[in-house]
Amino acid sequence: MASSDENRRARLAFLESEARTRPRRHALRLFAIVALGYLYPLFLLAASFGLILLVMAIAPLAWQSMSGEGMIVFGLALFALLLVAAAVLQTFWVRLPVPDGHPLRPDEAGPLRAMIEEERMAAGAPRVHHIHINAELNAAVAQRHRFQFWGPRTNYLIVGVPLLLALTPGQFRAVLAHEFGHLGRRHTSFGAWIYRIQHTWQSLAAPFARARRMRALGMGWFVKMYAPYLHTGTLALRRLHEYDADQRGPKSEGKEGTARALIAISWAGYRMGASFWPAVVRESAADPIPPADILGRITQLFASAPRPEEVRCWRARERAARTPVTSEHPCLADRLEALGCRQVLDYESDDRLTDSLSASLAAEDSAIGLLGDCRPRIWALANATWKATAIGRWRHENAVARGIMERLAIVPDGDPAQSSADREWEQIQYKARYAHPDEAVAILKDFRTRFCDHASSSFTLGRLLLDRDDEAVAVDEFETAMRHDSGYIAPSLYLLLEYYRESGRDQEADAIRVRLEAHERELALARKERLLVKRRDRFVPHGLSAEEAEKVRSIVHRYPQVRAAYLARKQVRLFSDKPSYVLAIRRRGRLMEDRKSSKRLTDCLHSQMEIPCAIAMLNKLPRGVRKRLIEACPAPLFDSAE
Amino acid sequence: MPQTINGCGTWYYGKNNLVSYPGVCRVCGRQTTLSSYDTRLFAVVVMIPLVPLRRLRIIEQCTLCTRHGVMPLGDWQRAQHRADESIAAYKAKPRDFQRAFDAMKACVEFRNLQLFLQLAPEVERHLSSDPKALGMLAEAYGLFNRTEDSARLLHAVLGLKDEDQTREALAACLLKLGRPDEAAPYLEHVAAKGIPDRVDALFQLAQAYQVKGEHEKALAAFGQCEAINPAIADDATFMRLKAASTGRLGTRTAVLPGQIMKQARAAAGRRKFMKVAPVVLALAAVAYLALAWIEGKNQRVFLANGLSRPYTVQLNGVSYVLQPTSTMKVRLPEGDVSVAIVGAPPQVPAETLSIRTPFLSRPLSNRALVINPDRTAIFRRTRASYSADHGDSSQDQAQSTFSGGEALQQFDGLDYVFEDFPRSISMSSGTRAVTKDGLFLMDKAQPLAAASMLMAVADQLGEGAFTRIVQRHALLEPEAAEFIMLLHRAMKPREMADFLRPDLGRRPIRMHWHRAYQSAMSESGLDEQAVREYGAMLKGEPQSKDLVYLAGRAMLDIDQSLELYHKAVEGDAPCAYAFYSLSGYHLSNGEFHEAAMNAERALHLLPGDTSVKWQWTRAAVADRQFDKALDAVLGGESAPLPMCMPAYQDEAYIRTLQGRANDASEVVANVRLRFMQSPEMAAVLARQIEAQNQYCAGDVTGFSQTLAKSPVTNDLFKAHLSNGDLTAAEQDMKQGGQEVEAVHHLLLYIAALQHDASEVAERHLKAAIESMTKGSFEERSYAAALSGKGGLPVKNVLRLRELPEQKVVILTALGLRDPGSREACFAMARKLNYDTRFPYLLLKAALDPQAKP
Repeated sequence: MASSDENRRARLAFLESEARTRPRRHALRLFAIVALGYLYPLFLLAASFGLILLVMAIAPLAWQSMSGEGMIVFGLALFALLLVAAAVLQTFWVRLPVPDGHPLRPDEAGPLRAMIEEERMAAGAPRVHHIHINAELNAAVAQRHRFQFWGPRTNYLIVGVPLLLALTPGQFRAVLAHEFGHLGRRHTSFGAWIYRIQHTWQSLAAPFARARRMRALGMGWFVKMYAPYLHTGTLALRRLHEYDADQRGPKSEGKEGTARALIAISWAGYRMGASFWPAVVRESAADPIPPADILGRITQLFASAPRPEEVRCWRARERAARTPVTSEHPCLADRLEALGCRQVLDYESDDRLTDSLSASLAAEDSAIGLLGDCRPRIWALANATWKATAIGRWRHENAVARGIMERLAIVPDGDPAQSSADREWEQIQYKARYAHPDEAVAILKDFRTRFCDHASSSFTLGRLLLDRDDEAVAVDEFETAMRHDSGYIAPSLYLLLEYYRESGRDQEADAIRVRLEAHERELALARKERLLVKRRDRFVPHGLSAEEAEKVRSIVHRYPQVRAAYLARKQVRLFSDKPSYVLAIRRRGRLMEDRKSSKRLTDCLHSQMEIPCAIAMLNKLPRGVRKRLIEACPAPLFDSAE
Repeated sequence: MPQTINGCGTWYYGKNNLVSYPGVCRVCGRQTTLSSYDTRLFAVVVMIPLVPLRRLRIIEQCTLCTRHGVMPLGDWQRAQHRADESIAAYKAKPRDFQRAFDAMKACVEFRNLQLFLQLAPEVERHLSSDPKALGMLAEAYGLFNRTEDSARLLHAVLGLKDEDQTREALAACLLKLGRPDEAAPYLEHVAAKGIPDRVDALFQLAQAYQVKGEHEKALAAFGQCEAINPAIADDATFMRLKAASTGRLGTRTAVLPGQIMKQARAAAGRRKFMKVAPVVLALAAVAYLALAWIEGKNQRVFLANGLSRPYTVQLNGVSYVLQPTSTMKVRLPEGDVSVAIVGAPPQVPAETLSIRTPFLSRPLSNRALVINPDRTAIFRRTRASYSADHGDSSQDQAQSTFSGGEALQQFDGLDYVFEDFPRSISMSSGTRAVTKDGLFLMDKAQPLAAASMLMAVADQLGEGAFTRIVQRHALLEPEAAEFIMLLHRAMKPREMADFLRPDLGRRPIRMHWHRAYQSAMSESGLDEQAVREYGAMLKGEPQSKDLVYLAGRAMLDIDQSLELYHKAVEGDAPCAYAFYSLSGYHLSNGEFHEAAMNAERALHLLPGDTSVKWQWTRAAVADRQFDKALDAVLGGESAPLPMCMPAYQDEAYIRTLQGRANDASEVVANVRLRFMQSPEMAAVLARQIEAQNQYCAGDVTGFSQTLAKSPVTNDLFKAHLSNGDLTAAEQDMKQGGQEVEAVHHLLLYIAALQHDASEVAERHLKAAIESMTKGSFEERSYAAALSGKGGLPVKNVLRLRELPEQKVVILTALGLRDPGSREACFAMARKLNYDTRFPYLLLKAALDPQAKP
């Protein structure tokens, strides 16, 4: 069982305290963790070369007794061992991808380069070899070694265009100062080393996870196991680095300037997450293609004044937040506290904040101007890249919306077989999903007054309320949804877990995590229960509508090997609100029964079924099961006349 | 798929209801003709259908890769029946989209083109205003590779409902038909709206332009792709194709994307190979070098013992016991190896050998390293031929080479080292003959005695090696008298004396050693020194009978010599060799009975000594004790070749003397039987015995004729000399190769005088004198007498010790030469001419010219 978030927080608190008060002891601890990471690769190397040495050592003994042919075999064995050693060495060679984003050409973005150079020199940081631009609200530094783990380093600075739009040049300078603070030589070399080591292992995890069998067997499993362990072990020190990097703000701005930059970033992120992106995603209902100029939209967002209640919600959230247990970056409140600027967040009046938050930030005042003449090119690239990244999810959302509209078009008043709640839900769900949140909430609340037990509406309302931080009501809605439809258990719990973790509320997050784990275990059992037909299974008539039954029949009809098919509903113990069916088919007899072709047939049928259905060969079922199944379905769903 | 191995397995036979149409194979992706038909699967043997298994429907078999779909014919027929039902259901309601969909699906699922072509026009007609139905029909046409129909229908769909999807599908059809200009307008929306997940359509458009050679348009399409999805620039295929058009801009050269990609894959493969190959080669090199190093640390070395006794040798301090004339395989690290024979005399010191082989060729070389610490082993390298026409191998003796005399020898290219050739080997087909090289140690398994073997291969070994081997045998096997006798052959007299001198002080006295030393000193002209040396030795050990004998042997004065001999045989523990020498003295002076008596005593004391036995035989024959002589001779016949040859000759001679001519002839048959394995040698011996019998019987002509067939030069000499053919006899002497003995010259001298060839006689007399001048004291004395230049008085010359068969020739020649001493010389010569074998009759004629032959 995973360790609880509370335990992890307690552990992290201990480690942070140790890092502050007993730095040497903490350094030793980290050194041991890092050394452990090198032990396994060294062990692999030692084992493979050790085998070679062993074979060489016993060569004299073997030589005495061997004939000429035996020596050739010995030579081949030695060669094979050398190949194994080479293969082991090769597993260490994994190509780390170049950081994402579009590289700036050397002659582009002069002002940006100048600012970068100034802050780099001030921080005493190594040279930045490449500047990449992407479409994220973030800035980061990355390093790549020439030879995977070692060798000369190439430094990358990745800057997001939205970040440039969200910050003033001064604030952006503070961000640069922070990033270079990580790499600066004034940083303790050990700390910087740990920082780099951790990021290297983190970077390795993905390529090794994708690697082929040899690499996966050799190093992949170890990287998968070790990288998270190293991540947790070094988290305390890395957080301290963040605090330390915050301290190294630009002299011109001072600590308050850094604080403002942090606030601006957090605020921009909140605005984008809470209102901007949801609004953009809602457009997918009507438009099959994402917007062409997302950066323009972001510019408009930052150039527009926020609503006062948005500021209040954000501030309330940040004041109550704690650093998530998995996050390297402390929460805003902690960072401001470290800078001695916590009071900026605590002011009752918004006046102090209005300067930096309530006011709009026009593009010409933002740091986007640092791009200089290359701005059009970068703008187009970043927009196109974002669009290409978003298109997959966009298509999905658009398809869902279209599906809803098409169903409405086919049955405008709803399926008479459905309940009134479901019929009305069919009418309103499009708006509930894709209208403005205020309008959607109103619609849903109105629906809920009439149909308080409707699961889908409960879930949708709960999600909207949670986005607004209306937690108590959202939780109630989720519980209602989970109570009435087991299909909403996992989504609801995931949303709640994420919400609590983001705000560092470990106790609540732990409770949700435990529930989620229990649910996943049950899901696994339920899956087994539904896919297999067992001796003690009980069946009832399938209860499908004529249309649905006809769909199943038409699918079976396409398979000439099937003589007859019986469909029944299986009585399941777990998640009984979700029906499960069994389709038993009788196929044509053959002299030599081919197990492979039977499996192929059941797999094909299974893949085409729209209802959750287990496929079984009637003659392979135990007699009792067969009897009960036919009792539940006396008339075959399909019976071939041939 | 059916499979056969050597014509046995399963196969399809029969093709009914064949439907063929052009299409793209779903497996290999190539444009080809796809065939569907009914057939039956058979179990086949040698491709003959024997057992019918089941009837099948083959679906879309590709003519290129032969892959296809297959289902039981019964299922196929049922599927067609159901398809018919679906079609009938559709025809009942031709405007029902779902029924049309089901009917088309039924046709398409099992690729029934005929049914589909019947159904499609109806669907098109009845649902001509339903874009969904027409779209579905277009898709179905596409599955059957009827792209034109597909395009036509998509045009119709566009007319009904203009959707991006339809445009893209139509563009895809047009691109398939190779009409990119027509397709381009239908893809404009992709660029205009910047749809990232449709950029592949533009990519296909660009490739279609490339095939047409319109690179400008292709590059425009590539540019659009990059603008819409910048990440596509990371795709190697994209960049490669773009570069292909960039490079051909301004030309109409067609670019086949498939070719480009194939070339790129091949280049990538080559690059990968160039990366992997050096690593593999490097690893192989490391393994090879490691093997070479290991082999260097554990080099296979053979130890060979050429002696007929075992001994212990220490190699780098580790002891190994070597059995007589055998080999042993050991492993030693390369480098300097110290070799020391345990208990070796000081003249055989420890030595350091350098075992070094080329590092790089070590694992591959067929090299045999042989250490022969005693340096007496003789190695034979033989080539054996194996032929596919014959079962066994034939070892080509003519291709045998011999080597020896070195402490360390290296042999390359050997297949069998100290192991017998196999009786047969396997060869690859097409090879008719194979040769293999083997290395063998010549040992006592050979029919020849060791010393005789050595003599037989002396020329091939070379002078240095022969001398070394003989010396080592003498030092390490001092009891083997035959090798001490070979020292005369291997070394000059003075060198031999110097070689033997250091061991003279060894006790107990090695008689052969001392005797050989004294002979060497005498041949070196150092008789006086020898007398002094032995006098000194005797003084130091006056009680030693052996030394008394040896001192006597060294004496130049015959009387003094005889006195010491008699002293040596007095009392207890007489010296056997003294008896032997006394026997020799008496025999050479015609006192046969005394000679026989002394020889018998010597034999009694040294029953195993070959030379004593031989002396006893000669003395017994001279004393006419034929039975006893025969016993001794028969014992000698068990000796190895060629030691046994004189025994057989003597047996025949003695039987002749006994008047048993038939028994003498039987010896010839015995010889042939005994030496079946050496037929050449048997033939020579038999011929010699036969000739001998003829000579003893007085048949000189028969003797000459018999020996004239002999390959032995000495036999030819005898034959020609007996015939009176002096010129031929002279030729035989020259062809002998070795130095001609003085006796042969004197025989020619005698014969020449008989034939009044005084010039020839004079020439050979001079040669004989010259030869004898370099010999022992006795030979020098004879030479002086023959030359008439002083020397001993005649009565002393007549008493000199010499082998009777040689002394008789010398005295005859002396008598002929010196009329003053003729009577005395001839008198002694007549006594000594008792052996009726050659040159008895020649000498008799010289000694008694009036006597009838």
